[in-house]
Amino acid sequence: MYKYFKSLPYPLSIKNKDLKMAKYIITQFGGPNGEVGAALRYFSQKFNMPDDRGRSLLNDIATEEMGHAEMVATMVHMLIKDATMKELEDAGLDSYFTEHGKGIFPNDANGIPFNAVGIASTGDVLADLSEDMAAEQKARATYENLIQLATDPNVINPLLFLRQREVVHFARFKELYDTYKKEFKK
Amino acid sequence: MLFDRDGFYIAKNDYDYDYDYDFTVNILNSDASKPFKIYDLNEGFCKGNLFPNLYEGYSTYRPKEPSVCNEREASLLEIQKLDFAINDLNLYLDLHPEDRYAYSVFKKYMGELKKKKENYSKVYGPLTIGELGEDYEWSSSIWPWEEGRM
Repeated sequence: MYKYFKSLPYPLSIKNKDLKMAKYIITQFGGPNGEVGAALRYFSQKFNMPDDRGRSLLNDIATEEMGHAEMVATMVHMLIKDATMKELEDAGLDSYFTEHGKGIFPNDANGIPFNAVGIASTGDVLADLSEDMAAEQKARATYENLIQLATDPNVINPLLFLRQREVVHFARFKELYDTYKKEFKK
Repeated sequence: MLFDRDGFYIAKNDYDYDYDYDFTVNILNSDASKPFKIYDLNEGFCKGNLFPNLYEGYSTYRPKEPSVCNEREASLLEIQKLDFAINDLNLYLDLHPEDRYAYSVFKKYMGELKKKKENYSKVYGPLTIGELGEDYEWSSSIWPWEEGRM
C-alpha cells in the first residue's frame, strides 16, 4: 500500500524557464533510463526475490524511485510552465505541445513515449539484479549528460543529487548480487 | 585527482560552495574489520549519499546546499534532510538488519523527524493525511509542484 507524503525528496527552486532543458530532462521521467521505468522495474521484480534482503531492498528502492519520478516531472513543469509559443517552437517542443500542451507526459528526449520494453523482469534473481545494476549505471550516465547540457545551478544541483542516488542504488544492488551469487554457489 | 580519500571534492569551479559543516563522524559496525563512516545530516543530504565509502562525485561539479525561499521551505528542508538520511540507512539496513549501531542512528533520526513533522504540520498543514488537525487542510495546503505560495 502506498500513502502520499506531500514533499519532494530534494527542494527545487527553479526560477528561470529553460525549454531546451525541459525537453532533455523529461527523458528521466519517461525515457528508457528514467525514474518511472526504474520504479516499475524494481516494483515488478520484488515479487520474485528469494529472501528478506531482496524483497526489502527492491521494494524500498522502487518506492524511492517514485519520489524521483515526481521530482523530475516537477522540474520539467517548472522549466516549461511560463513558456511562450515562440520559445516552445525554438526549443523544438512544438510537436510536444501539439500532443500534450504544457502537461507532463512520460516520454524521452526525442518524444518517444514510455515503453515497458525498457525494463526487464525475468524471474531469475541474478539476471534481474544484473539488469538493475546496468539500469542504475545507464541512469547515472544520462544524468551526467544532462548535467553537461545544463547551465543553471538550480537545475544542476538537483541533477547531481539524483545522479548520486543512482550511485548508491548501484552499490546496494551489487552488494545483493554478490551475496546471492556466493550463496547460490554453495 | 579530483577527490581526496574521503570522497570530498578538491576541484574548484563556478558552483563551488564553502561548507561549514559540524562534521560529526559516526562509525557503523556492520563489519568490525571494515568500519566506515557516515556523513552528518547536512553533508549527506547535499551530496545525495550518506555513505562516504560509496560516494562518487561527478567531474569537477561540487554539490551545493539547496537554497530555500521562505521559512516554510527552510522548515521543510530540515524534514527532507532527516527523511533522506532515514531512507539511505533504510536501504543499508535492508541488507544489514543486524547492525545495531546503524539502527540506533535510524531510530534517533526517526524521533527527530516525527517532532519536526508535527511542528511543520501545525503551521503549514499536513504532510501526510494522518496529520490533519481541526480543519480539512489536505487539499488546500501547498503541493510539491506548486510555487509562489506559502
